[in-house]
Amino acid sequence: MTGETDMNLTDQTRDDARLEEFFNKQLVPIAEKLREEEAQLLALEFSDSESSWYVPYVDVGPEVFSFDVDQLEQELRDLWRDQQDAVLLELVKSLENLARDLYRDSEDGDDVSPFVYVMF
Amino acid sequence: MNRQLFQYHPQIGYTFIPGLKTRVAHDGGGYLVQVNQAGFRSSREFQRQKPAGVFRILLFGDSFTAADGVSNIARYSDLLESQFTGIEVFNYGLSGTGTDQQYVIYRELAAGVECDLVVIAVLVENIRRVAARYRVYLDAEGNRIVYAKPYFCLESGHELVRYHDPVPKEPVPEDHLTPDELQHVDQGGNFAWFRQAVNTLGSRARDVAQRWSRYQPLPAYESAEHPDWILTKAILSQWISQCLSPVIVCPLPLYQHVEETCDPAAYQARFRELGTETGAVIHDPLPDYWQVPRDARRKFRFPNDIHPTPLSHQLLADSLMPCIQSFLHQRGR
Amino acid sequence: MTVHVLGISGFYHDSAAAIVSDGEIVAAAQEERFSRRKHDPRFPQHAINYCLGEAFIETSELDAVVFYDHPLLTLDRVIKSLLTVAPRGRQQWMKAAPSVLGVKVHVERFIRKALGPNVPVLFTKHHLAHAASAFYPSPFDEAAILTIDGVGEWATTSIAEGSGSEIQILKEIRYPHSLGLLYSAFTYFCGFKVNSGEYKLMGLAPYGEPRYVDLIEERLLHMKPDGSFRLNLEYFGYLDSNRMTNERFSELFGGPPRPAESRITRREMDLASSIQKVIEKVLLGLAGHARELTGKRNLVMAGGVALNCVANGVLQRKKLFDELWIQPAAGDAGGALGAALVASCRYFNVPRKMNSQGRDSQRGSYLGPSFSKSEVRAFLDRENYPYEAVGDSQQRALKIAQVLSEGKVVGHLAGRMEFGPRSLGARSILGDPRRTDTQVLMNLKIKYRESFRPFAPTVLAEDCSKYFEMEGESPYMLLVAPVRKERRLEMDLSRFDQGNEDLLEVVKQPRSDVPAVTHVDYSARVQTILRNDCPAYYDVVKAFRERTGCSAIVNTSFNVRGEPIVCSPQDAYRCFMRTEMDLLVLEDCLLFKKEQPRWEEEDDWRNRYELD
Repeated sequence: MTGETDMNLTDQTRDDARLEEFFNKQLVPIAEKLREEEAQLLALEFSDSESSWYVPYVDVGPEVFSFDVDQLEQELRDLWRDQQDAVLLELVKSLENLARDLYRDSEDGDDVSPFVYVMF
Repeated sequence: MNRQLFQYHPQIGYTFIPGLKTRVAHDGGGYLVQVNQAGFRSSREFQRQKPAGVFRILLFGDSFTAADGVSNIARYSDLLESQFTGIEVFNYGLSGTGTDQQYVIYRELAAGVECDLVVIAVLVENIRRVAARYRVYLDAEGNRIVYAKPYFCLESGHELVRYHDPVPKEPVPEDHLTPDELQHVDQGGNFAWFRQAVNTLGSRARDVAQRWSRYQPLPAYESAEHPDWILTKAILSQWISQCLSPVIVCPLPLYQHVEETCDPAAYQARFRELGTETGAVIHDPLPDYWQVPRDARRKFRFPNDIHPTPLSHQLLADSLMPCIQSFLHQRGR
Repeated sequence: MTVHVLGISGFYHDSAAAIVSDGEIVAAAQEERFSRRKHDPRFPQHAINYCLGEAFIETSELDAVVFYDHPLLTLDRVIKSLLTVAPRGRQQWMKAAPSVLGVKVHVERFIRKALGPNVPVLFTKHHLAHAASAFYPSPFDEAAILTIDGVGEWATTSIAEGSGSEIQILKEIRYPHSLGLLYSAFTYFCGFKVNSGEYKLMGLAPYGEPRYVDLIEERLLHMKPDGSFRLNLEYFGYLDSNRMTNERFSELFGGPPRPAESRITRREMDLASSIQKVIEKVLLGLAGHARELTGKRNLVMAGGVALNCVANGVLQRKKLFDELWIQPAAGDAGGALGAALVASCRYFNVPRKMNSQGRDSQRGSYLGPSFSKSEVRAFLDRENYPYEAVGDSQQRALKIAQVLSEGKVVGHLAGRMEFGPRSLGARSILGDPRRTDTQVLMNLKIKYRESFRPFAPTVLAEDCSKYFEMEGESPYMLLVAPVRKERRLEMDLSRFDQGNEDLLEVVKQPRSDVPAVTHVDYSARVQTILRNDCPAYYDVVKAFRERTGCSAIVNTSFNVRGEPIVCSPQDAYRCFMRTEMDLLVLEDCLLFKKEQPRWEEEDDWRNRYELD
């Protein structure tokens, strides 16, 4: 085993630990809080109460725009503030830090699991 | 997918595939390649007849001149054209060749082409290829394949005799070669094992190793009596003598010479002797490289490829320009 | 100065690149064709290299590189999805975060690393890119635009209108309610691979009965009269697990999902049939609403669901719109083209380029690399492979037609490679449609794939109506039409109807006078061809007609199961030698199998391709 592979394994383990921590300590408490408040971030109803399931198109920003990771924190903050998702603002800094730490110079050779592709 | 760039040629061994127009992915990002119907990297066809008023240069060399890693328009040949009005440069550079194959190109394809000047750009490492009769290539899967190349021998002490004519088309299984032939397979230098070991460590380690060892990549230049130099000189002398127009011989240095991690004195001495004996103009661009601060010279080659970068091509064009200008002025008089 | 815009898609599925110069589509290709890794999701470096080479420009000449998706909105959706289901969804997060946070928000860095620090990098939105890929290359000055896929940022379905260079998105249906995900859920449940097995599910549908339609409509999908819909997420796994469906879904349909590669049972056939009917019904609803909303007479479509050519055929025959045009690279790969077109038209204000002859400007979708005769010969000569060069295209076509008429199978590489999942003659395997054994032979001995899968015909455009009940053209093989009644033969399905589940028994029965391209429901996925589209290929079909009187031939993609479609002559030769094809056509060179040297490989090549 080369030193490089050892290093990759170490990185992977550290990343996994950070992601676990973020999920357990930040996402889960906010999710529980939102549930207590009966706030809904996704429309899941399956009833006849509405006449249409279409929603009007809401233009979020210009059609063509620039974006880099340095804008992530501010733009995410602006987006969630505009959408009155204030509770999510607590996550912004951590997400920005995760984005910086998870960046790898080259892509992982693994295939993306098709079963989680809704996440992409 | 890597596009195949070369096709078999019975006299030369191979040429670029005529009509090819593509971009080749490369360490430097990628470069645009356009090949004419003669099988050389050029956006124009090589017409025999020279238009009136044009100063035409025929340029020969290997991958440093064909310019692996660099788009056609950024090569020193093309930069010379764009910087002088009224000159055209036919770049007969062919990657992977030695001076012997380049001489064959001249004889087979360029001897009848009207010109005002011939420039033979000899990458100093070509001396090794001149002594070789076979070369090792890697196929798409990275497997070693040995192909024959045209070569010359000096017989009766002075007569250049051509072998591998036509060049065998099929790859040669290494275990079919005789011990003598195996000695003439160009493996990439006398210290191939050293290079290989260093290469596996990456380019930075290679640089450090070179500085530490001051490894001399080309010992064949150290004596005027070395058989490889005698053969190279014989080929160049015969070539120069057959040219009807003036000839510039331009020894192109290796990066070790540019970056002053090995001594160029031996090859410089040999080419000076060649100039004296043949009357050809020897243009050595190395002093122009050395005008650039040493710590900036790493930019003359790619991060993981020793071929000249566009910056290096610009320097070569600038270096050659005064020399060519003197011939232009002579013609003008 | 020419405005050059490079569009790219990737980091999820089917990465691709496309280049548009002064509004003209110059080149487009999927990364998988070069990397030889099916559905390759990685940064499309080879496809980019190809596009720059085809346009023959330096990276410094690019006015912009445009990515087809908005990383921030995707992140927004991922986080909100997780917050909806947490503490469930942990596995999804662990799998997705390295891609969403480690790659997607850094797209700009990947691009600059590959193309240099000074290249301008722009972004657009997923469904806008799809809409642009459908509208701008279409032959219509005005059209309604329908984009339907799994999900892009938040949208899963969009209705827009296009007029000149303008595109206005009007309405959308948002995640997690998705027709694409619904279809993928059934694909998964029936034992096929999501994102590549959807075509198999569609091909399986005609074997079944739509007996689950009511159940699906009652429990899984609620559709309004205006075509809008929602899914009942209680039955799906994709919100909170690494599975598309859950236990409830299994209970609803009588047991767990079919294990991959196991025997296909009546249940899967009936599920395939049922979900197909549901998709068709929803598509008609959406299209009807798009017509009402926009008042446009023409419809254009993109998004993965637009590759459901059976539903497209139903839509066309309903005549809700005068004309229909579908982007041939309707999936995410086409997003690269759409992104380039959006930026060209809307950011750089380059006027939209329309075809002056009233046709589309997709160039037959022959937008990939070609290989010159010199390149082909250089390859064959270097390898010493025996070939016969036939310079005269008519003579060559006659020779190929003769081989086909003898029941032999031909690999055909000619001209520029197709952009999109369908082979249209440039990288195709061809066969004789009149023979009853062609389908089984080509499935089992050439493609090494499931025997039930149907093959498609290429038919001379001028003779299409003699074979199929279809008006107009179908140059991109995106419409399914019925075989004409007078050509059909009655099948004996009594054993199958009595419960025998052997699909081969059905497949082997003659169904028409072109049985190899007639599916068991007497339908065919038609490609019509005009000479201008791909002259060498047209000549082959025409020569086949001259020799046999039949104007159609079998056309299937030039690959084996799990392998990307071949790109280069080297790929084609390898595939040819690994299979039982009889003749390989590489531009003007014909290679007969019996004359080729023995093909040897160190290991079993089948292990190199993951089954799709």
